Amino acid sequence: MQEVVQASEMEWINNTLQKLGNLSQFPANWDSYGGLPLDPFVRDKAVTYLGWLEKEDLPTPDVFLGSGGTVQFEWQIRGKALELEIKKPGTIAWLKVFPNEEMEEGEIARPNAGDLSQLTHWLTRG
Amino acid sequence: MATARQDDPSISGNVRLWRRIPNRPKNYKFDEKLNRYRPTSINFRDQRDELSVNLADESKIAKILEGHSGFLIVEFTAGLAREILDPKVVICRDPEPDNPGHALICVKVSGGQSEKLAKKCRWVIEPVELSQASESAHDPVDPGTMVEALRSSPVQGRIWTQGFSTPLLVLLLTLIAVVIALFLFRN
Repeated sequence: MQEVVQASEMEWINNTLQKLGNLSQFPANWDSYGGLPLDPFVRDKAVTYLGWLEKEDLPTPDVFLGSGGTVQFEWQIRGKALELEIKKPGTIAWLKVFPNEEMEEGEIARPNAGDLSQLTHWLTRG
Repeated sequence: MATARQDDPSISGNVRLWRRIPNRPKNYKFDEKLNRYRPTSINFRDQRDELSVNLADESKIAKILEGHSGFLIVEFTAGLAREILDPKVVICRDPEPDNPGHALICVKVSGGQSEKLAKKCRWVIEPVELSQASESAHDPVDPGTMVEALRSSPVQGRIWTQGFSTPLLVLLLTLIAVVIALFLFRN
């Protein structure tokens, strides 16, 4: 049976893709320190990873460009924060900020859908 | 490269460091816990692991923002950087021909470390649209530096003075001028 994705769940994905698209407009040296434009490879990876999360009921994240042409998604929910930086060659550097301000961070060299769901479930549950 | 640089012990813990950050794309966000806008952590990570900063006491805001209209400036101390970052961090002078106060923080900065810096730094030049939202959260910037900046640079951000924002100061001076004019007119 085909799973149904709610329109509200798609909305945050569409908003995020739009924000991602906006980052493509920034030229080299956008940060005045030789910052690279959005890396197309990173952008494609980011789109793929967002696709893995399309069934998650998440708010639209803040989306930022990194100096190496990377992308960072940031969510804040009920005192918790999750940051995911997408880097070449598809690595995800993640940071969890707990309500008491303690932090936990790590990197996933070859992420899969399960890895991402685990991170977003930490954010949305409990 | 970072390995060739040596830590400069003259940059002591209380030395104030300024970092210019872009305002396009908006590299700041509202922090629910701090209840104010702050720069995002990504501003404190560099692809070459060399974070460009300026020694506040040896720099002019106008010079830092020259050619970078609309950019913002945040401040943190060398002590805070040494406390948060890797113990092997190298903070060294890197003077430029027209910017002798330029310095570098050489170290690989993790997401968590950059998050801490982002939360603990303060605005020197903040986005104009945030000025009302975070007015109470500010400490004053050196007034001498402020006056220098006002004279020589049409910055788009908002510069903080000792208790007065620039528009408020202008309004106050205008009111004083009107009162004096009325007084003279009546006599």
